[in-house]
Amino acid sequence: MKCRIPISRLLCWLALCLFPAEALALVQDPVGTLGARVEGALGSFRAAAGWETTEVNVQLGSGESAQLRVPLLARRQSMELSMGELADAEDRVTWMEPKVTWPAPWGSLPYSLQGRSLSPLENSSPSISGLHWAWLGMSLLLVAALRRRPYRALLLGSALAGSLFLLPSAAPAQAPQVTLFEGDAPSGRWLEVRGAQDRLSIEGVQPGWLRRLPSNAEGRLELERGSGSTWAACFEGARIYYMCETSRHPQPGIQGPGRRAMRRTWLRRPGEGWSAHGAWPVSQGFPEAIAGDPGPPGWLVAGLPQGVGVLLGELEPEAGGSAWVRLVGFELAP
Amino acid sequence: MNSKAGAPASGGAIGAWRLAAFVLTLAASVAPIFLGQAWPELFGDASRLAMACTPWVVIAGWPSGNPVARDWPLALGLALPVWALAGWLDLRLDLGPGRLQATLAAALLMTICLGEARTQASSSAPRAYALLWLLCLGALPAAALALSWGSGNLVSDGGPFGALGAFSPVTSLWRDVQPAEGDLARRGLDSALFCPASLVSVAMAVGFAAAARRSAGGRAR
Repeated sequence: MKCRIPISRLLCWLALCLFPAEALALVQDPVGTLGARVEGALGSFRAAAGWETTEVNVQLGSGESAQLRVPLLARRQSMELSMGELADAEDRVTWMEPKVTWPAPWGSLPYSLQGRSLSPLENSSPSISGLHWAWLGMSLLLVAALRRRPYRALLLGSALAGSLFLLPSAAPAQAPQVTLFEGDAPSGRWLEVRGAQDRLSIEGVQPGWLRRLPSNAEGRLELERGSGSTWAACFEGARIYYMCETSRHPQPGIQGPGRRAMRRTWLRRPGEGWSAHGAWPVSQGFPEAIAGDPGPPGWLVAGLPQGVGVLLGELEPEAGGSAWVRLVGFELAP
Repeated sequence: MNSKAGAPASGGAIGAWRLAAFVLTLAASVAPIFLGQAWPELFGDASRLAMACTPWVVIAGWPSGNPVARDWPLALGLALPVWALAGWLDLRLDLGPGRLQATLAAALLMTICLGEARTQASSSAPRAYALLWLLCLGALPAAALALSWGSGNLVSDGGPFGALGAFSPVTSLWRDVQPAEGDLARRGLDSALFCPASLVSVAMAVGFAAAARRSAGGRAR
């Protein structure tokens, strides 16, 4: 019997079968936490859970001690296996728990929360310090002083140009952060997604997930004892997103205290298009539709499920960035 | 200034007008760096290095009616610290070292070649050089810009009108400010050194050096 399936189609099927579906999916790595007791004198130590290093700056004097929770980043595959490891200061740091506390598996989240689009991020703009400007002024004056000897001026200019790269550079400015509260109304579960370029500061050491784009970007986590429970994920050149389940969401489903005011809102009812509703202050009902609004940002509506109500909103800006809400399954109370 | 034999001088003091031109060029090349610091959204991730290089390429080859001293080494000496600062900023903007190398190599080559062509031509064929300079650094970019806008494309697009501007050092460098995706992939060190604008610059330097030598030889006979 003659085969009627073209060979090209067979090859496509074969490729699809062999290609791991996970390679197409966005990858997030778990961030676990582990309590540690640190005794001085100790400046800093490095910890790991089988993968990226966490640098912990404690600055403890002799005889001092402190307890802190250390965030640890692991590979998804090694999550169940990994224990806290210390790269140095083994005699000064004691883990207070036998195993790292990991977040619930990503797959246990409602399906609609797993595949949401990510927010766009802005680069931090590099800043030139006063030292660099002074160096430039001095260089130009020195070269101009040799204007009667052009070749010496060229030689000096080349040397001074090279010396710029030896100057200490200021720390890059913190790029604006974007916070997005992702809600799933049927299950009542919320994700807080924070994103920033290069360096992301996160309040509260709690289990979550970290996503980097590109996913092979190298970096580390940083924790400072004096900064309360704020830690940072540092991956230069990468877009960084940290996701954790939260109960600190803006509560758009309720009226009155607890709900956060929104500057702009958009609503999509099942089977209808988007309508803009403007600002939604606290302790007021959902505003009426307004005309003349250009519509929600494209990244905010990308990939949303069809046939269900969706509420989008922009919250009052937070320190260092913008904040947004995206609630799928939202229904207006009659 | 060695103008007795009509040959270009190899160094020496530069005139007040030329010095003033260098100061203006300095201001024009520092301006994008300063403005980009004051208003970061003004230039976004455009290459500060390419913007800082362009005025120096223009001034290095600025035609002169009288025999002039060779002053491109001084121009380059003044330009290099500014270029270094602009390149340092570009690196912090993650523009990629390969792209910066290509821009820097092209700018160095064009500054030296056009500066040398100006020096050599000033004593042998100043009018021919002025016409050629005006064509390459004035008319071609203007024509490419006008035709590209008129046809709905930008100069950086690799269309037929964009190809016209490829022969101009100004357009060639200005394309590096914010290259199109296709240009970015093609732009390497070799393509920067062997692009039409670089070859035009080298040809001008070699051609006018030969003309100056022939002219000096004729006078000696």
